[in-house]
Amino acid sequence: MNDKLKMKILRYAVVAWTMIPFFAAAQKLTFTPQWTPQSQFAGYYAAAEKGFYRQAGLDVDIVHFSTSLNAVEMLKSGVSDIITCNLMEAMKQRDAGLPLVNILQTSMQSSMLIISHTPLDKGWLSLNGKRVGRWRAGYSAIASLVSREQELQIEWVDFLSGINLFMSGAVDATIAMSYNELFSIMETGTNVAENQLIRFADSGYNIPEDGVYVTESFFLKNREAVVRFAEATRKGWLWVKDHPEEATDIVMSVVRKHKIPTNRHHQRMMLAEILRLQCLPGETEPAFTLPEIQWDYLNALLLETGDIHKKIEYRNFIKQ
Amino acid sequence: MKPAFRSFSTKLSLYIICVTGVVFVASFMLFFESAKRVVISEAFSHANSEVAKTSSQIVAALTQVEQSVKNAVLFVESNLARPDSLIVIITNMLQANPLIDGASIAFEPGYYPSKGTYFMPYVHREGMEIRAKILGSVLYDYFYMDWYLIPKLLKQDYWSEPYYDEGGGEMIMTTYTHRLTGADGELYGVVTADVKLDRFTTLVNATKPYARSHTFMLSRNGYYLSHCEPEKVLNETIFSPTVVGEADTMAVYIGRQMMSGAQGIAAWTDKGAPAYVFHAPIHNTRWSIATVIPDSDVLEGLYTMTWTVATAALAGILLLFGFTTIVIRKVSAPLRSFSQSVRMVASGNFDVPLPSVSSKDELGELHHAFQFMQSSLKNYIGELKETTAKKQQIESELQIARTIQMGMVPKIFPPFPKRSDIDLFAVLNPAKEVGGDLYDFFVVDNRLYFTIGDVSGKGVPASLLMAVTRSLFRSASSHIDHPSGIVKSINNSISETNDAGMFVTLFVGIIDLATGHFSYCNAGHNPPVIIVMPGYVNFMELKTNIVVGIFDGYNYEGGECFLNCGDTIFLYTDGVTEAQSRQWKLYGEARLIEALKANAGDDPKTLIHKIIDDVAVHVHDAEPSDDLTILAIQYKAARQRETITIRNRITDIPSLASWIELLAKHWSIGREMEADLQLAVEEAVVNVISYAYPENETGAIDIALEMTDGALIVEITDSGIAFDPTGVPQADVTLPVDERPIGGLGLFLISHVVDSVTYRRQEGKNILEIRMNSRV
Repeated sequence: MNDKLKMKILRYAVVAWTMIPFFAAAQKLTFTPQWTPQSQFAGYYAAAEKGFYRQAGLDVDIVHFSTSLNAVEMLKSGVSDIITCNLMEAMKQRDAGLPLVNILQTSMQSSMLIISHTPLDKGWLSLNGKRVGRWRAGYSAIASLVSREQELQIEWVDFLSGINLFMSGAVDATIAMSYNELFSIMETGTNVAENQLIRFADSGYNIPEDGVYVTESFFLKNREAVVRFAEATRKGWLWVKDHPEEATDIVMSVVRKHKIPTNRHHQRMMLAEILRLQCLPGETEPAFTLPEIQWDYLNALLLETGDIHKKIEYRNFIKQ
Repeated sequence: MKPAFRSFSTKLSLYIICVTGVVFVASFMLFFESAKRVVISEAFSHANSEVAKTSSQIVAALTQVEQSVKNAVLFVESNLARPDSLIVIITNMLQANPLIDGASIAFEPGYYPSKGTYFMPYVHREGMEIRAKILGSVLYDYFYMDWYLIPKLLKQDYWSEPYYDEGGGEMIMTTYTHRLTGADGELYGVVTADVKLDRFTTLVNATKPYARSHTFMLSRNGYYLSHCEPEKVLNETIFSPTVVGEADTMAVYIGRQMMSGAQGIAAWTDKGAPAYVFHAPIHNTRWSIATVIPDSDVLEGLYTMTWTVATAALAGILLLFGFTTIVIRKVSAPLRSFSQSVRMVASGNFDVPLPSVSSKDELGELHHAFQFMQSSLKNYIGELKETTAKKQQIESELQIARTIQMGMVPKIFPPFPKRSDIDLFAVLNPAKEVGGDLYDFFVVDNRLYFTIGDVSGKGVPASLLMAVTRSLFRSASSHIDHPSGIVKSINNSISETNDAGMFVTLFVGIIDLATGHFSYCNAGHNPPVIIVMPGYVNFMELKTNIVVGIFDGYNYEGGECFLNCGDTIFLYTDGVTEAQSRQWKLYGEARLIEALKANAGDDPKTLIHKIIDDVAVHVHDAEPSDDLTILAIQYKAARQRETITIRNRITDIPSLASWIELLAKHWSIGREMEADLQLAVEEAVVNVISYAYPENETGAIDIALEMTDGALIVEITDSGIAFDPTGVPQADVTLPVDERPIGGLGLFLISHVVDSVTYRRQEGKNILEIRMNSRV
């Protein structure tokens, strides 16, 4: 074998190597959003539907949580590779020993609010002595913290989900998401005035929510695929921002497939609110990265609520 | 045949049909409105009863479920001590009540310590079987479920918001919860019954009072529990579309009404079409059902009837139209015969027979009126023919009179073609067939007599006086040689017999064509314009006397002047200066002068035509109000020159003297001027004879006599030695005769009788020129 031939083979080898992503079988990934199908996850559905994952060499299977397992449990059990999770929940899990790492932050603001049957003219103080619904599944720790900080006597009523508890009049107020329950309540023909709401974002607890997470070990083993996933997801969300109606149609097709009782009006409104929450206050473009500047405050808050027991390092948690 | 729509019968029929149509439409609308009210009220009670029936059926079924649970509760309370037997109670309940699909008894956490935190016996149907199991675990944490939590908090029994059954089935369920409370009123558990909604939705969907009506059911939160569009069920509330911004206020209103548990009727728009909504509540569950009925459905019967009636009415109206047309055509048939007869009468056949009408109605009256009109027309046309014939005769006579009148004034131009000293042109345009203007002229003894005049009034009387005046002018001119005399003579003749009080303005002039002497007399006439080249144009300043024909014996005064070669006298009547435009604006003297100035260089004919054109421009299309007459005379006195040649002999002088005498007579030079001329010429010729030629040498002396504009110029030419008689000092007549130097005396004499003497030497000849100006 002469040198010329060697060079030739080497050249072909180099070309073949660079072509690997195109010929190699796409990497399979299982993704689970933290709730039933709705516009909250429009970006992932769009990335799949529009082929952004495929273009990134990924074969993403979107599997929703079952009645027996939630998203975190699905990740733990190895059913899912990638999940979405609320930031506080993710930090809590990490503190509890599940080494989650954030590969993309889709929410920059808190959607949580308290909605009351009667006007809340004195803000949090108006809730003193009132019966207020909160989710049993979590996310409500911050509400409890606020009530402790403000020294309020609130009778918290834990419930599963939905608006029936509030609508039945069994509670005076309830915790709700600005992108979901608020609209559901409005859809019952109830007029909701701004003074019936307390938005956590306006009360100094504007804590980012949804993010995309993998386990640390999965991240180390599949770093490249995870990065491609995050990138394709980001692309999906940006496409949704530019095509809200088409995106709502995609969401509705997923919703119908999963027989989720909802309607397009609701999902369209939810999408608009989700897109708003993706931007920092006063901005119009999504950031997709958790600002490091909030990190110490967040840790302090969770240490205080008892959700975490020691500070989590930003660089260990954020792997973007 | 006339076009159908123009005929009387069709028109009348159309009017009748229109009125009938309006009456029909009005009464039909009245009928329609009241019928509509009746139909709607019937529909309301029908729909209301349908909706009420359905709602009461559902209420009855739900109440039955509530009753079954209450019955079961009695057994539960009495068997609390035997928890494992409880499942039998609810199994029996399911067996007893087919409406109940599942049932449970759920206890507060740790109610039976032996059973742990959760204890919930549960039975449900699976096909024909009833299966039992114990529920309650960390995964089925029933304490936090709506059906448990809400009645517990509310402290009242509760029908849950409907939901899809477990396992993602298509079946919609609702759960009735009955609270189990101890003596202290504290809740220790609940008894529940699950009810499938399919029975109710089938009932609701079957509530269809009209073909296109549909009925829907709402949950207490406004969710559709049943709807003709299945995709809305449990997915959407009646308010959902309005939350995004499509503010359908009707939907919101009806939704709120239904949510409030009210029963009622409201207007709605269902898929763009007007509709009515009838709603009734289901008290047990706080649901509400509503039937939507499109207006068109409610009113369908009414519309069908409306079409039938309208079609019948239209057919009736068409029938009526045909009938009335035929009847009216028959009744009005004589009218057509009348119109034919009248058409014939109109074309001149007055004796055409009228159609016979025997009736005594309006047509009979019309017949009489036509008869009367026929005879009246006949008479009238006869009279008209007569009058027209008379008028035509008068018109032809007037035409003859015009020809005669026009024949009276000289009309051949140029009138004196052989004369080069005068150019003359005249125009007379009467405003009517005959007019009162006149002009005349003629030449006798080298004198031009002319006149221009305007008789007061117009038409035949004026034309007659004009003829008289013209005759008088001719006869007076034959024996009177000055204008004032002629005018006076005419005035006397007319005044004498002027009972009609008419008068004439008259201008009479005489031009001595040899001398340019112009004498005139103006009797109330417009002052003539004198045009002196180059470009001096103005009215003649002259004395104006009173008009002719009023004052017998009036002493008219004349005037005189000399005309120079090329001067033009422009005479006109007031038909020029008083010519009116449509706006009653006069042509005026100023404009006349302007026009004359602009055309001052033209000969009389051209000048007159230009003035007439200018007047025509001013008058435009207005009727001429007065006769228009213009007479323009241009004096062009030819230079008259005669010559004679004599020898330088004293003996030739007498023949020279007699030549001068002859010329003086011919040129009408006055006696005095003739004497002076004789003296001056004789002296000058003697001077030449004496000094021009050497003694005994015969030489010729040429004498030329020239008359120009009344002035005399004598030119004496000899070929003798140069001698300037004007250079010789004039004789000093103060000296004694013998002391005076020779010569000089002749020149003294000459210069005394003539106006100028000049000498020039030209081509070897002595030329002496003597000039005598006019003596007038």
